[in-house]
Amino acid sequence: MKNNMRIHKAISVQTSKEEFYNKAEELGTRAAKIFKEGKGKTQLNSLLNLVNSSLRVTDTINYIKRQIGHRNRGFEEDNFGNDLIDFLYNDLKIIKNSIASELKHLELNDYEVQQIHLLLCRQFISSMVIHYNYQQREGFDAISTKF
Amino acid sequence: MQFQPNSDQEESFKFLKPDEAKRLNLLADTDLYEMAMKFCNEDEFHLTKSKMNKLKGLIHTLTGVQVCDGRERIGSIIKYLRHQTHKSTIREEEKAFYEKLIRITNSDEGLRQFFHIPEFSNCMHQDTDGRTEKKRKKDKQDFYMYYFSREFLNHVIAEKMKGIPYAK
Repeated sequence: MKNNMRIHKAISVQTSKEEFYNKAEELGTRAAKIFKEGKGKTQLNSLLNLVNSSLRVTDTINYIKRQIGHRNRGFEEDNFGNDLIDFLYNDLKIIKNSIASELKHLELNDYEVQQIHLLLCRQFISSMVIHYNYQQREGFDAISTKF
Repeated sequence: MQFQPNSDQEESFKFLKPDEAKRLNLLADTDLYEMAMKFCNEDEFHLTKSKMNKLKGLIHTLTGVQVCDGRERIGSIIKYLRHQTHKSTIREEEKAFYEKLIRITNSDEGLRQFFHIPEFSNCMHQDTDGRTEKKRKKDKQDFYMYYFSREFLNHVIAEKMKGIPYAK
């Protein structure tokens, strides 16, 4: 099996763990509470597009930092943005290291290890945004019945 | 996983071999980020929102330069920073902040000490415009320095912006 396939397999094992899912659910629910009535939909979709298209974890982190700086955009509320940065950078780094040591026999290079972190971020943000959209569902139903 | 540079970086990256581009990308994502965070933790000074935006704007307009423009571009970042330090109304902390940034982004010291700049002799392009290999090598090194400076400043600005409230 090629290295890429093994990396993807190891990532899917890690991301299907309950703790990973619960954390995505927790932050998605927090986002839904902060961004009421679809207020943050554009921002979170931009975040999702960014993480899927960028080649660096820090691009995503810098985007969140700038959103926190805007103050009125919700990321600064309830320490949401900082917690998200902390999870993406520190917690996912621990998972990345555990995957890297698990795949030690493949002698992964630095670039492949960096890709593991990026793929974990993509998976997490995608789950979080899905939870956010799901939580927003009732709000949207209420809005759509009004018109 | 194929390396695909962002569209705004294509101009710069097409001059580099895929492995070189990957290495730059990796350094910007790991070592440079750590270095920028260390810098921000040691220096709690915040520029005003407008000055930070000015610096951010300067860096954004420099994105996507060609390899041979590297020297020129790093020069314009440093020129801007130096110009700021010479203003009569500048506060001491602000001056110290700019001077620290100059020290790090200046090619003679700072970043050059943190990173091993590899030999580029084996990755020279075909000599089509009559330039000597030595000049070409220097161009590429300048581009590396420019790239490191730009990415370092990008990380510093994002971190500092986090703490600056925007006007509503």
